This record gives sequence, C-alpha cells and structure tokens, in this order.
Amino acid sequence: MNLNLKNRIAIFNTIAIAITTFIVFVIIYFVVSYSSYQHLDNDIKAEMEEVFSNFNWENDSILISKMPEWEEAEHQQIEVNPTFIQIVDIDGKAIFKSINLQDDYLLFNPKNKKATFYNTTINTQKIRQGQFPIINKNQKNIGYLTIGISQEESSSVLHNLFIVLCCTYVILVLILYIIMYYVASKAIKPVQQLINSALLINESNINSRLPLPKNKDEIYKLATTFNELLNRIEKSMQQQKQFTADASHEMRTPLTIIKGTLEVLLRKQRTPEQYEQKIDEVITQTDRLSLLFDQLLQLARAESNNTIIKKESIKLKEKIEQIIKTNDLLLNKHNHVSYNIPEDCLIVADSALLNRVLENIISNAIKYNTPNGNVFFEWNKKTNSLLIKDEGIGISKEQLPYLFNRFYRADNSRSSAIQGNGLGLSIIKRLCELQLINISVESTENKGTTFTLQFPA
Amino acid sequence: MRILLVEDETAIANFLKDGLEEESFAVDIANNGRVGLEMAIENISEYDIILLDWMLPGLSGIEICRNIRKVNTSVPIIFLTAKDTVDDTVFGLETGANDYIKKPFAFEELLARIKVLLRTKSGEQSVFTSGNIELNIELHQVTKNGHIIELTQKEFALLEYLLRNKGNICRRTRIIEKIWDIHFDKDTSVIDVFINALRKKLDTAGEESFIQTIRGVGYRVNETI
Repeated sequence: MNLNLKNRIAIFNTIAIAITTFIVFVIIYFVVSYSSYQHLDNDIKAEMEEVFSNFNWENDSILISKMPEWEEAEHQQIEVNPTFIQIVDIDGKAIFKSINLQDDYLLFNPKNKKATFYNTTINTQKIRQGQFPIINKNQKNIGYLTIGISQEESSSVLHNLFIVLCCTYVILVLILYIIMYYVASKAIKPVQQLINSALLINESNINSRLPLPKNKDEIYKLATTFNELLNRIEKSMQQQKQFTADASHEMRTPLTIIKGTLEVLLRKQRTPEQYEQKIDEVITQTDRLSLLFDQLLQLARAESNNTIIKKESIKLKEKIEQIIKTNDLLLNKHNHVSYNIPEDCLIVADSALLNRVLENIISNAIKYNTPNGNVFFEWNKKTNSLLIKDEGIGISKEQLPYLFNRFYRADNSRSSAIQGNGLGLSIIKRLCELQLINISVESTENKGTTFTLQFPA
Repeated sequence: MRILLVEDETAIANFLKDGLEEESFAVDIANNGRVGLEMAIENISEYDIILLDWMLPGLSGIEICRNIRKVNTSVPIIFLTAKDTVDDTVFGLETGANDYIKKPFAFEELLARIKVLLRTKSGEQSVFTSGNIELNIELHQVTKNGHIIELTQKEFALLEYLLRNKGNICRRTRIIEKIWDIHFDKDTSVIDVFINALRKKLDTAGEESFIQTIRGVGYRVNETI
C-alpha cells in the first residue's frame, strides 16, 4: 500500500492509542468482573459459615438443627436476591433443599474435592454457586453443601459495562483517526511547502533558495541543508560555464589571428619579407592551437578515471636530469641548475606521468625565471618531498590560491611575450592526484617560486 | 578618421592596425582595460570609432563601454569579442555599443560595419566632391574628371577630412588629432607637406587651389569651387 506520510502517521498513532486503550478497557472489564465475583463468592462463603454453624455431623450422618431459621425470606422466595441451599450426601442424594429451589436441583460435581465456585442457571436466572465438601471429624468426606445466589444484578452491570466499553472504543478509534490525520496534516504542511518551492527551482533560476520556517526544527534543518546543496550546485554550474567560456576564448583567439592576419595580407601586394613574417605568425598561432587541443584532451583524460597508474621505484636525480636533457629545456637558456638530491634517492610514481609533471614544472621554472636565474632542486628527507625553486617573477599572494585553476594565468604572466594558456598546472595537479603526490606552491613576487612535490611513503 | 582599439592580444591588434591604416584610419592601441578607458575618456572627441574587446585583463569591455557612455553617447562603439551567445550579444548592445562582432571575423566585414557607422555619423554620405574632384569612401578611391588619382594613406585621410568639413576651417591641431595616431609628436608642419602633395596631384593648372590656406589657423576646402 502506497500510503502517504499523513496517513501513515495518523494510522500509526491511531493504532498505538487503540491498542493501549484496548488493553486498558480489557483490564477495566476484568477488574470489575473479578471484584464483582469476589463479592458474590464472599457472600456465599458467609452463607456457608452460617449453614455449617447450624448443623453438625457425627460419623457419617448429618444432623440439621435450628431449621426454623432457615425459613427466612431469602431461602423461601425466588425474588429479591434469593439464596439457594442444597445438601447432598456422599452418594449424591439430596438431604436438604431450601424451599425456593422447588423442584430444581443445584448442580453439583462430585469430582471437586475442594471448595469451588461456578456459574449456572436456574430457570432463566443466572446463579453463582459455591460447592463445599462436608468433612467430618475423621477427615472423611460425607457430603456436599452447595449454595447458590443470584448474580443477575452484577451480571447486568457487567453486561452494560461491556457494551459501553465496546461502543466507546469504536467511536474513540474513529475520532482518534480523524484528529491524528488533521494533526499530521498540519505537521506535514511545511514539508509540502518546501516541495512546492523546490519544484520551482531549475537551471534558469538556480540562484533561488528555499524559504526557511520560523521554528529551528528538523524542517528548518532540511531547508538549510537543501539550500547548501543548491549553493554547491550553483557553484559547480558556474565553474562549468566559466570553463566553457575560457576554453572557447582560448580557441577563438588564435583562429582570429590566423584569419585576420591572412585576410589583411591578401588585400594588397606585399613584399616577400612581409609574407614571410606573417606566415611565421600564422604558424606560431597554429602551434598554439595545437597545444591547446592537446592539453584539453589531456585534461579530459586525466579527469576521467580511466588513467591506469603503473607505480615504479624511480631514481629521482637521474629522472630530473633526463627530463631536462630530453626536452632541451635549457637549450639557448642561460639559467643555471643545481641539485641537492642524494644520488640514491628513490621515489614511487608512474614514470610517464611523472615525466609530464616534472617537464611542466621545470619548464615553468625556466620560463618565468630571470634570464640568468638559478633553478634549485632539493630533496627534503623528512617530508619525502622534492622542491623546485626558481628566482623568477614570482606570484602574488592574492593569485596563489587560484594557480591550479583551469585557464588561470597570473596577471603578471599574461603578456603574450610568455606563451601559455593556463591549462598546464590544472593538468599536472590532476596527474599528481592520480599518483598520490601532494603538490603545493609558495612564492614571493619578484623573488621566486617554489613548487613542492610530496611523494607517498 | 581615428580609431581606438582596446585589445590585449598583440597579434590581433597588429593585423587590425595594419589593415585599418591601409584604409586611411589612424589607430591607437590599448592592451589592457584600464589604459583603454583612460585613453577613451581623455581623448573622447578625437576618436571616430572605438573597437572594444570584452574579455580584457583588469577592466572588462562592458565596464569600459558603460563608462564611456556616461560621458559620451554619440561616439560609435563596436564590440569585437569571442563571447558569442545571444545573451552576450544582447547584453553588449544594451550596454551602449552600436555593433557586436564575434571572433573570428572577416576583416572585410569589420571594415564594412565601421564604414556604416561613420556613414550614419556624417549623414549617409559616401561620396564627397569638390569641383571635379570626387572622393569615394566605399571604393576608397579619388577621381579627378573621372580619372583615378593615386593617393597615399595619409593623403587620402587628409583629403577625406577636408572634404567632410567642406566650407569649414580645419584647424591644424584638429587635423593632427584626426589623421595621426597618438604616437605622433604633434609637430603640425607635417600637414603642410601633405597639403602640398594633394595640391600637386589634384589642382588644375593655372587655377586657384581647391584647398584654401588660412594663415596661422588651418585649411579649408571652399564650397563655391
């Protein structure tokens, strides 16, 4: 059954109270019933005492004395709380019957050796009977005394009680359900309001938020949590938009240069030198585009979790020297490189990915360095980290936190003199993450920058 | 005609300057937003068109446009930008620009649109005449008695300016401002050189020059001729 919350709450509450009430009603009924039988049985016992005091028995026979007293109204007439008395001997033969029994006999069960109480009817009257064995001085059972009294009164009281309890119960449950449903509705209403508000939020108005209820209760918490979720979604959408805008700008700029330069070139007859110069420019821009596409692809691959990491133990100093050599990083440069790394220093990483990371950082250290600036490679044994320091233009404190963002280029690097599209660092950050390498950067403007790569233990 | 170009990508600024100067425009370049805005505001009366990039370091093109419009609502502004959605276009135009061109663009198209805005400014005219001399903006050529006369960029620009302001005295300082870009050192004697060149190419032998000299002030092309 697909019941909604209101119904479930109402039903659950109603059932809980219904069960409790049922138990209470049952207890009430049985307590009243028990106590009314107690009264009846006590009356019977009292009567029994009286009877036993009025006769005695010797040996096997019972002698009845003081007969006249038994001619009290209660023993003679059937109306007005009659009391019936019957004495039978051990064979079951009635020795005495009170007059009001007339031709009836009180039931008796010879199997009961002890005093027992039970319900019977005489004619149509409800009777409570007590059966008592008559024991003589020798502990021998010589007969049975049965006393019966009417339980019409208490019976009708109990009957009425039963009817009242049943009717009350049914009405109670119905009213209860209605009340619970109403109360549940009111409690659920703020949830329904939240649902209505949330339904209105979509891509175009992602900056709207749910209204907060006045009570700082769970609904309030739900609304604030949902709003925080919306904050995260909005931020993510912003970042997506920003990335697309940046990527498109980075792609369009070289295309604009190529198209514009060639179109202007063709408008008039030019000198061979002019043609050469402009063709060079177009080639440069084509390379720029090509690099951009490469990097976007790299970024996409690195971001998807498809990259398989092959971890190896690598000699650090050797690797750095190899990268500088293979990529001609110092070709035509006047920068000086120095190492403070033990020859036998080993780190764990993926060789190919590490190549790309180091190539990028080292080439940056040279690119953004002063013409004769130094590049230092240091190994910190305690933190298991490689430090790459340059003495270049540095990065300002405000810009440092954004350095690894896609397409981010610190303002002082933006002049087209230093080529770059800002994707490099975001790619290598991802590559480091994949190898569990912790990458961080420190810098002082115009003094230099230090990249730290902390390798896993 | 003088153009202010605010564009941070040097290579783009280069081909634009080359191409536009060949069309007899003087081009000033600013490669960041703040400098661009300063130049625009300081020299607002000297620029006939302002070409604005949107994504600039420092101040955005939109901010620059807004600030220019606060002090001047007539100078034509064209956005030249990689931001290409409909929303961007609408936003740019609503900020006060006269036109919005997306990168990459065809140079000829940019040229045509610039001429449209200039045409609108001086009342739909694309042909200016003085006697039998005719200067055609669209065709970028000058004819005398129907024969095409070759002029250099600066000669063309100077002639155009004089003809647009036919009947009015063109002050020397104003001529410099309009025909030469900001790097020129404002020595007005260069004007005389070009005036002589124009006279040599276009005057009818034996007749008065179509350009009148007003001593100490400037030059004028007379309506009556």
